[in-house]
Amino acid sequence: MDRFVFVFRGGAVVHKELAPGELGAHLQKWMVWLGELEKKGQADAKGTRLQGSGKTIRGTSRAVTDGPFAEAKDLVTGTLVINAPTLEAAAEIAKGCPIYEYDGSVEVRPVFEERGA
Amino acid sequence: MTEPDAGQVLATLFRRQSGRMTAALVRMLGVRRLDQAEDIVQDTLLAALQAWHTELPRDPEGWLFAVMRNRFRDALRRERVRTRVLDAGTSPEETEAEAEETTDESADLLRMMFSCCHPALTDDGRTALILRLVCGFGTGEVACAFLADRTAMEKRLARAKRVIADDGQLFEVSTPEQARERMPAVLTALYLTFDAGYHGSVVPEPVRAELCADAIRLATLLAASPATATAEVDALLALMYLHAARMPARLDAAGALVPLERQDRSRWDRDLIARGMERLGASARGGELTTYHLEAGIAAIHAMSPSVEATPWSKISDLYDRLYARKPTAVVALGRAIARAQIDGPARGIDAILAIPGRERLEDYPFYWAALGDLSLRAGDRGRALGWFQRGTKSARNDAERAMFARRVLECVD
Repeated sequence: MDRFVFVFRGGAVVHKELAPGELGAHLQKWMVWLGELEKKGQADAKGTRLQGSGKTIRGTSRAVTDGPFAEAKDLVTGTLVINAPTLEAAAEIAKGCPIYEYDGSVEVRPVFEERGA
Repeated sequence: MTEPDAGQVLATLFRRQSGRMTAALVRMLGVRRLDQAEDIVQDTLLAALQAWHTELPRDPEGWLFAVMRNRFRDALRRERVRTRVLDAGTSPEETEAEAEETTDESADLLRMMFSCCHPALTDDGRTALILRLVCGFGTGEVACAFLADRTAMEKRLARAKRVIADDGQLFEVSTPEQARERMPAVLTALYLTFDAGYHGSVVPEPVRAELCADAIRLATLLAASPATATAEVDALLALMYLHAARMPARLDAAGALVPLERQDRSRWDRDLIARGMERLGASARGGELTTYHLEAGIAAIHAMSPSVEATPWSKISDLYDRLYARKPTAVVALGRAIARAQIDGPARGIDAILAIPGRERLEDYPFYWAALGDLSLRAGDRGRALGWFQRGTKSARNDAERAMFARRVLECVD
């Protein structure tokens, strides 16, 4: 089994106009999806979901600015570590994520593993 | 129907908690800061979206309220830094202390409901505001309930919110004397909420059931609070229960609306009928006879009758006469004419309908065409029935009503 990191961008969290009922229904889909991943041993469903605020440090002067400053749809909203045999299989898992309902995206990145060292 | 289906559990939780939180925050912040209250509620729900993983927290309501209070304190702290000098009125420290008090949820919701029923608003405006702020429906969902488009509803809601925010204070509902002034408007808003769910045009099915359930929930709140527990509230609740009882029989297997006369009465919800009859009994106090008493009375006779034939139509017709005397609308006149037709025969029924004053206002009302077509069919005039059912299709507000007309049209041609 290899590990992959899912990087979630955008999605319902950045849509300020969603109705409470829509948010609740959407959260329920996430809980079902994560619950299944956990049951199948494909992920530790806790993952890391990020708050909207924060700071960015940049440049040799270590300039600190408030906020992540990405466009809403590009804002990193969370990560999740997935166990899957191949990149293709991991991408297949990512297709089940509810994030696309509110035009979010999932980036799937293999974790560099040091093997047989 | 009072319990949401499994896929809707969190939708319902979020919606209801959003109403509770808005009501609490508006008390804590003052109604002038309604916008800020709504922002904090939204932030709180988004926090849950990020923080809840595969299981709900042990106490979801408590979790949301704790986050809400933190957000509220953060907002005040930021303001304190920004303004430095505070205006004399309420200091954030005071408000903050108040916020820590144990909250009385019913009192908050009542205050909010009555505040939404501001005299400067129309009945529809008040209802829309209650749906938005107290029930936690989104602008799009409220627009659906009113057959309005989203942009128009957004403007209407913004205007209505400004009216209650500019008023500057919440409407206090601690005594019956205080409540009396806005009671009729509040009851009308709940009646309209229920109606939007019951006849709910383009409203998606789960939302319709939620509208009816919310109207019942809020009316129950009125009935349980000393300041608002009047006989009229019991009558309104009876009316809602008795209508809700018929919901399981209103659609056939193909999703077509089934008129009352053809419903399978064994599918009516006995438990809701029992609750309705109990409330109707309780409403018979104080000698006051309101339109809700009369409408609930009509619904009760239907609920208690085993079949159309066994229905005491003269009693129903009598109740309609008394209802029309208090509420002389074309829709009430139509109901009365339909009841009379069961006594006087279909031909006289058609004449009665065609003689309704202001009949042209019924042209968008599907049950007007359905009644005319049905009576013509019963009178043996298929051609006339066909014309009316076809015309009725244009007035249908949803698929169920369209399917009903399609079915009736077929009856005229085969």
